[in-house]
Amino acid sequence: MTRIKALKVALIGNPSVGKSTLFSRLTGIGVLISNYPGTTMEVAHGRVMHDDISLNLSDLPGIYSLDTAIPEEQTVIKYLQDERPDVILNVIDSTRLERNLYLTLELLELDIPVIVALNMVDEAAMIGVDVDAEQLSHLLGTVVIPTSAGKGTGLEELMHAFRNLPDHRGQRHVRYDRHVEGYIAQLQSMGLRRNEAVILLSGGRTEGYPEEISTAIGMMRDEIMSTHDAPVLELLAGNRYSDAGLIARSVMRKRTEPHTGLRERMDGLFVHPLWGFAILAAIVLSMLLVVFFVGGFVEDLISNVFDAYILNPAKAWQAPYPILSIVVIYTLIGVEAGLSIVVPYIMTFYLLMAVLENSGYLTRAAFLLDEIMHRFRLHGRAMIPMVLGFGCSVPAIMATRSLQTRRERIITATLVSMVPCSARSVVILGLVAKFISIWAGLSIYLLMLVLIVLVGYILGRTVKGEETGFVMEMVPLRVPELTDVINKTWLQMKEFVYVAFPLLIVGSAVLGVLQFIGFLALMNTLLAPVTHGWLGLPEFSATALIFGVLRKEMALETLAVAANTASIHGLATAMTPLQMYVFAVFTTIYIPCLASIAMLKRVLGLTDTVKVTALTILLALLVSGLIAHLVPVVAAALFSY
Amino acid sequence: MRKNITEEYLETILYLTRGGARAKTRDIALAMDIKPPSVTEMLLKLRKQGYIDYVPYEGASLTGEGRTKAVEMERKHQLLETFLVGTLGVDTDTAHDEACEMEHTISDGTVERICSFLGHPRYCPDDHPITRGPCCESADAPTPLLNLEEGEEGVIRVVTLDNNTRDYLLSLGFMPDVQVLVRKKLPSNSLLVRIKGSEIAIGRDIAGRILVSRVAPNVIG
Repeated sequence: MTRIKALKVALIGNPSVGKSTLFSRLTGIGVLISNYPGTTMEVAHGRVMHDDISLNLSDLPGIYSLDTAIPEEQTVIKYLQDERPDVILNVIDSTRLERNLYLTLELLELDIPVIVALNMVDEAAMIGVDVDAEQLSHLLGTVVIPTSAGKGTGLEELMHAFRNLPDHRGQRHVRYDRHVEGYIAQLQSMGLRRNEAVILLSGGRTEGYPEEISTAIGMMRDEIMSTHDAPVLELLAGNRYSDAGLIARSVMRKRTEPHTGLRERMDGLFVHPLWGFAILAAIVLSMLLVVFFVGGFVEDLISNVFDAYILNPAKAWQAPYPILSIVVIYTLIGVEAGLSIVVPYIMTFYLLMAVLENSGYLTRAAFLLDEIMHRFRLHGRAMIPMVLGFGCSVPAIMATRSLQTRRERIITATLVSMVPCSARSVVILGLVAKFISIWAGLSIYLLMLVLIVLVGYILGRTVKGEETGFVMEMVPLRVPELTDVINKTWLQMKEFVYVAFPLLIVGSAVLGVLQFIGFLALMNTLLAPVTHGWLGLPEFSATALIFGVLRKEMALETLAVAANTASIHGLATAMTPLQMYVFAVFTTIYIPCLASIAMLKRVLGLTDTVKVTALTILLALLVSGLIAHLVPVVAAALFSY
Repeated sequence: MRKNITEEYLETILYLTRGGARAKTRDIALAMDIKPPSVTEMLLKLRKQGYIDYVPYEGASLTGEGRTKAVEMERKHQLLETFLVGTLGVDTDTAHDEACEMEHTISDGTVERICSFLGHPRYCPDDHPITRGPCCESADAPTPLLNLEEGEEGVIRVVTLDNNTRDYLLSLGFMPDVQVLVRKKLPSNSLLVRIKGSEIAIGRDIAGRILVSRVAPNVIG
């Protein structure tokens, strides 16, 4: 059979079942990732051509069911309603069959053909479990293809399954409690489809249905609730789970003793109350060290090459109008700045992060840190964006979108804005650690930690909204796949490339023009009461701080230029150690960079973005001002004794 | 007369008198697939033994003694059925038939052990409530999951959380009558539990609001 039209395929499954790996195995490169309209979740689209079959694949967020209010599930529900896919490719994890089948049973009810990819069969075999795919297929009433996305097995058979789509009418429907089944039959006689009846009974909105149906539903729900003394959804979920359990038990064959000794022991250490924290600290520290050593090396390489072959020739070029050459030079500076931060620091950081995430370690870290996050009335999940923040605030703020409530997103995003990102680390290390001492540099990290804890504590008690507890599935420990790591890295990087990069280039050009027309000199004078008066900094630092809004580590480069020293090394004569320290502290706190602000606005909206920005400015003024004023007093007091 | 038959009759009458009305001879005959004259004969015998009140043409109802015996049988039946279906994966029809046989021979002690093993379930696979037995009364009162120690297992009784969190937990399998095993407990009281074949981390605030009954450790050893 030849198909002219591409089949629309929705990839649905629990989180971390190898869905995305399967997706990239099938589609190769050329994946388009977009925000699904009206949601904060991302959906990846890709095309597959195989012999005479053509598929349009959409990789939907990982979910556990179709009944809850969490953003991932709402995205999938909306997608299913709006896009009406031709077929659902349900990826299930053979090692956690019962839980995975729960969603499968819900999908089978939808009147859409479902093809089941029984994934990670190799991993199940490793822990001593064989799954009888044929029997499973028989019980589910649809096609089941054993696959191992990691190894790439079963893909051919999977493609073949799309050639002859299963008939959705043969799919297994959970037999619910007699009471419920009676009502379903009654609703079906009123013209509803079975799955509509189930959704409405379990609490779906009845708007848009005829009056008689919505009243009937209301009465049925009350009736079920009063006789079973439990919410309807609980009853249905119980029925589904016992069905899932029955199926799982009848298709699983336990073989010999599993070989999981090493894995279990590692897992035990990772969440050990003592060793767990030691390992976590070691991992975070070595990660930051690797990023700075590797990053610093690559950055030098890139900027030297860029300076020698692009920037310097451009500077030598005599444009017909000086303004034009300013624009060209500053645009190029923007490009260089982007390249020399994105490739060395951000990419290295996110490669390492992706390894941590895909190996399953990150969920263990979140579990360990749940208690600490609790003090901010947040929970362990919020830890992940904050760690990401050490790389770049932009993707870290984006990562807060997977948090469940708006309250958590606001608090976490604010705290993320205060985590010293790699650009701020360049200022701290390049100015304070270099000219004062490494300990002075580290003290700024400590200071930020204290501030984050303080702000987190206050926000946790002032930001109103729903508080949720910590519930997170522990992903089994796995050796990460290279392709997954690369994909994930790109996913994080692309936010920087698409959001931050253009802003950097344009912003840089605009600043060049502002400087050219003398605006920045004017700002130096206007801001003198603050920079000089309150913070005790040289007047020219205002220019540097304005550039810093564009990109934090540019504040340092600009500072050198504005101080009229030939290189950064000249700063030692232009500024006192105290001024350097205050400058670095101020730069670290004062305002999220332009790109972060853009991302904040996308995640939180304008009002809260303005609030966060204002908060950081006030905090920076307060903290660095206090340092500028108190340090001399304390020092004098110490010397007088 | 075999003990079996008496018990079967009492169980049937219990079932038929649920609504409050007396059980008619014809209905009993229908339910048990026995001819009506034999039923009448048996009912008279049961009346003599003091298990039932029987008025010819009006029907039968259980006496206090008869009711106790019938409820005990029903409970055995339901627990066996739950065990066969839920734990062993026997299909419901077979389980029903075999439970009907086993309920008459199984000892009270063994039933209690099955009940403890199952964590004192509230409903059988057909979703009929199971009468609580002496072992259920003496079992630990529900305690927050938080109070379980590492390695202990419990059966969920109630989840007292806001709707959104409860629904989310439902989708992960946290619902009444489901077993959870505490795999890891941090000093902060965050728990790592095993449920429905996967591992879930839960914070102490949530763990404090899931009430469980401890599964008696001596029956699962």
